[in-house]
Amino acid sequence: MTGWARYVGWRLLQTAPLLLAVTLLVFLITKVTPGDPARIILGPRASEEAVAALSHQLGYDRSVLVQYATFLGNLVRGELGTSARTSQPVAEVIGSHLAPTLWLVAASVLLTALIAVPLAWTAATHRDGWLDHALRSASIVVLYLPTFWVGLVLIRFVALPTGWFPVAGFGEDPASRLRSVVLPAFALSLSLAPVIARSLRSSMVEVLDSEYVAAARASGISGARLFRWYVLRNSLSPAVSLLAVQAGFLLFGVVVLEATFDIHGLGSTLVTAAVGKDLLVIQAITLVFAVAVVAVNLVADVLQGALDPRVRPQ
Amino acid sequence: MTAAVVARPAAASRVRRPGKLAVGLGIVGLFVFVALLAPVIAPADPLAQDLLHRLANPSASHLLGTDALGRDVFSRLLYAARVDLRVGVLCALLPMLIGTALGAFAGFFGGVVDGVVSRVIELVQSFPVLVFFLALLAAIGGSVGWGPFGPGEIPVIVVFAVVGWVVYARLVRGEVIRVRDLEYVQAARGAGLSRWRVLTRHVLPNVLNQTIVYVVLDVGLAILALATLSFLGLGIPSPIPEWGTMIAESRDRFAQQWWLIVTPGLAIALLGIGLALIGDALDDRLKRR
Repeated sequence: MTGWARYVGWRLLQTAPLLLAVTLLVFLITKVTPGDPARIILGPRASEEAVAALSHQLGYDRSVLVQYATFLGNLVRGELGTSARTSQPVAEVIGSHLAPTLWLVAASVLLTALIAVPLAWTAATHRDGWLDHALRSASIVVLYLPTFWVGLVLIRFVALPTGWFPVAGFGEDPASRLRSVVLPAFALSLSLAPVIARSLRSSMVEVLDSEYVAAARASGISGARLFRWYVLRNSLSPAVSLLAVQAGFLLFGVVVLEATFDIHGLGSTLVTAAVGKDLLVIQAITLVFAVAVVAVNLVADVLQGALDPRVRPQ
Repeated sequence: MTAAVVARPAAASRVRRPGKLAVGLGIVGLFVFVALLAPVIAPADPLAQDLLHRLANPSASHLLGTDALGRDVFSRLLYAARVDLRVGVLCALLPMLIGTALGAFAGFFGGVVDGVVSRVIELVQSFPVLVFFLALLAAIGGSVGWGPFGPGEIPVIVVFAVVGWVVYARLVRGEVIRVRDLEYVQAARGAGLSRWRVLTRHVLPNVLNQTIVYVVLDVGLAILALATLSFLGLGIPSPIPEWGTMIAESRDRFAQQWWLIVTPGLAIALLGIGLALIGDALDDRLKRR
């Protein structure tokens, strides 16, 4: 166990330079913008003096290195500036839009697992059956289905005729919130589940062919018990790491689907900010997403060690 | 591009191999044909408005009806293939060229170049690349057309080139390291050929297979990303016919004129599937050899 603790510590240490690099990339977003950022914030009608004053106040008249250091310092203190469009503090913008995004992410991951695990199990136990082939084709086809289009189709052909789900927006109480994330989460898991299921299927096949499963079967273990304690446990860890690799893809899906379903979370706020060139908001939300991806990968690595003792370093 | 998990062929699918390539080439060939000949085969000008006949249902004169400005949707759908294919191909080819060069350099020469390239690869891998696309596009964005490029195209292509090369660099770097120490490369080196010549004549030709397979798949993914960015209002601006833009334009007419939205999405998916079939068939062939 101490070896594992050391591994977790080592992974945490590795994360530090990565986070620093992530902040640098996010910082550079404002540097590639053509034109004077202070002018963009204040708009075309502001006076030259006001632009120069804001430029000085934001430190845009100093060297890039000093600006980056200031950016880091502000970040540590949680000072993210104010939105150019709404004059709201950026930290507040993030706080007030976090909940819908978390709901959507949680629902998508859950739905992906609920679809992928049974699919993988059926495909692995009926090898070369029709489902096995269908899964292979599906995992390619779904990559090319635009998620926003799938979302719109679900709105038009499921939400509108049945009335079971809201066509837009995010509910107030937990029950209606759940109903508002079902369709976008389904659209997202539709593109993710076949990819995860294929990976899960191949590791399940490997486990099913192994000697210890043969031994378990010989001693009379079968069905749900065999699946849960022998197969699923041993084949989950590659799927978990694949899900972590896909975390960035998932977050982009969340951005797109929030915009499609008009759910006012971080994603749709990012899109609005991007269209309106609200640089500080763009910067902050990108940073939140990037840190989330780094964190998810860290957790996945640690979780992999917990799921599968074989990957723990000695 | 991050979503691409290049599928390995299952044993059973090898039986149907010849079909895949033909179907894929057929689909992609159709799109290329449409893109090249759009001005000849399109029944109407994709930008011409006819407000008296707006939101018309599909008919003989307007195969897919008209949109909210009375433009012929079928013609717009055909013309959109031009923009999507051109930008999609560039958004895959440029990263491929940059990534292959950097990856080969890093893998073959090692040292500082390799250190830097490897760190950047690691960084981009742990980054929500598509979200970064969006942010970067917003920062650069808002371009007018230039030369052969229409409005909005250059920022998209630049962003893809800046971020997309990493996938190729990783792929090529790994392959170069694999063959670098093989006998035939050592023999070429021992024969006194310059390192540059060994790299370009003996190493690269043997590592490009996977890259070619991937670039075919990547064109489809780039078109998908382009359409998504356009749908969000950050890619190709209206009124230029582009599949994602067309969907965004007709979004509030979806309850009544659903085909305005369904058809561009089908076009994106069909083209992507065609490219995936070609990529998959090539992958099978390369593995068999």
